[in-house]
Amino acid sequence: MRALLLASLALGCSAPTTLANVSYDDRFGEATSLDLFLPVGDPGPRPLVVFLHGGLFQRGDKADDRAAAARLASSGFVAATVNYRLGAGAPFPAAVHDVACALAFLRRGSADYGIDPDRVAVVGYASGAYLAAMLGVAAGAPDLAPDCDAGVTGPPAAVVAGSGFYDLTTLAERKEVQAFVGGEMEALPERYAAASPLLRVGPGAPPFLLTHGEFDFVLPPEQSHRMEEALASWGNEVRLLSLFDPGHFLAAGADNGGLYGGGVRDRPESWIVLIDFLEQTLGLP
Amino acid sequence: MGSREALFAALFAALLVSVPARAEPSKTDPFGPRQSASLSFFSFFGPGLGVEHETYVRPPWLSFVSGLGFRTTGGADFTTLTLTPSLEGRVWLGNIGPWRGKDQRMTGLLLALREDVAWTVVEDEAQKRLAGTAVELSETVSLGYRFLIWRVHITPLLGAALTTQLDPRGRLAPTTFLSGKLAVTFGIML
Repeated sequence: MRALLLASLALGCSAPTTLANVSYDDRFGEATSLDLFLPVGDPGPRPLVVFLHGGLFQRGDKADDRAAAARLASSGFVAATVNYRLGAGAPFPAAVHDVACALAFLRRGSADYGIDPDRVAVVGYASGAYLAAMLGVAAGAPDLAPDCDAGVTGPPAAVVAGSGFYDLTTLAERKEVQAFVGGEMEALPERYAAASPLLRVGPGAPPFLLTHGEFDFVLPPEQSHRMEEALASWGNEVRLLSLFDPGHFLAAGADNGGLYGGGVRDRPESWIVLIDFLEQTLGLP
Repeated sequence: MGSREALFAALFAALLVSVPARAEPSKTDPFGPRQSASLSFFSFFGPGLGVEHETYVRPPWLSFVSGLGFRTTGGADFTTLTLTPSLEGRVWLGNIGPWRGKDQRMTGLLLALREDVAWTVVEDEAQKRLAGTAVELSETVSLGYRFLIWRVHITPLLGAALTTQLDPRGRLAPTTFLSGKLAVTFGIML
């Protein structure tokens, strides 16, 4: 029964072709590589969705987003999952440089991969949401311009940021944040401000979709509420889906009877607003 | 006490006063009360409700549970509604095989197989439009234990769920994923 239903709904949704470990900056090996998920059929150009994983800059891998990227590629989007430099050896702005390089690399290779370079969304979760927001509000900013071969590129056409953080000055007591920025806030106040996408918001940002669990015990939901206010105050288009959920690693099931592993990004509500937002901002493939 | 808590309290009180006299373990019925009504513990904290009714269809080893959950979890710029009918079969492991004890009621160790069909709709409140819908099919295998005190029971269950999400509008390809699940129900034997 389930197989029959799936087969009927999956018509036209063929499994994508995967290009694994494509280097977007040869200087840092696998830390600056990405996986591409290319839909079969029409060569495009198609809209691109770039996934940035979480892990508070200490852990995580592009493989974390494989299932979501494969789902979007099976739906007709080109999708990419991106590694970026992690750990104390790569403090701010290394990771921001890396994801900006990855975006520039994909746009530069748009003809090869069947990508429409003007229809690019960046989707991030937790620290990936932070990076996606940085690309949205500061891609192309002189102080964040990367020095990779792919060069500098402008912001994406849309940003989706789930369970993220955007003002590092309010999270300065956290060890992961200190490791990312490269020291404590008392010693580096300007660096903390420069590393906070919320404090860089101005007019002309691309449309943002924010999601957050209201009971997220890892990253406080106030970060998303404040980011929404900041974006809206400058007249930018922004939506916030707030879910009554623990959120980060646990979420209430659709049955309303249990708690499930995973996070709010797996919930059907999150997928509905994601595809609706992509349709409105990029258009469907 | 908020309106939701008041609703739960009223529901539970109604269940208690509706318990028929035969709810007490009977000498003529070694399997004890053959019906149960439950609420989902986690739904108590969220914007929704999960209710279940259980029948001891093949005592002393098999019961069936039918349930209905709804929740309105979304907030800020969206409103959401999810409705989820469910069916579950429970094998009472403590009543069969080498573990078989004197108590043959629906209590003790159990193995459960559950099917949920969830329908979710999301509205974009800012634009006053339908953002989309989703259907989820979930099969869950769980191991649980029912603690019974007088007529009141609490039943924690730990298991694994295989979930498939579908987009009826066809914008998204189907996806299937496996996740751990923790559930706790509390209720009374009827």
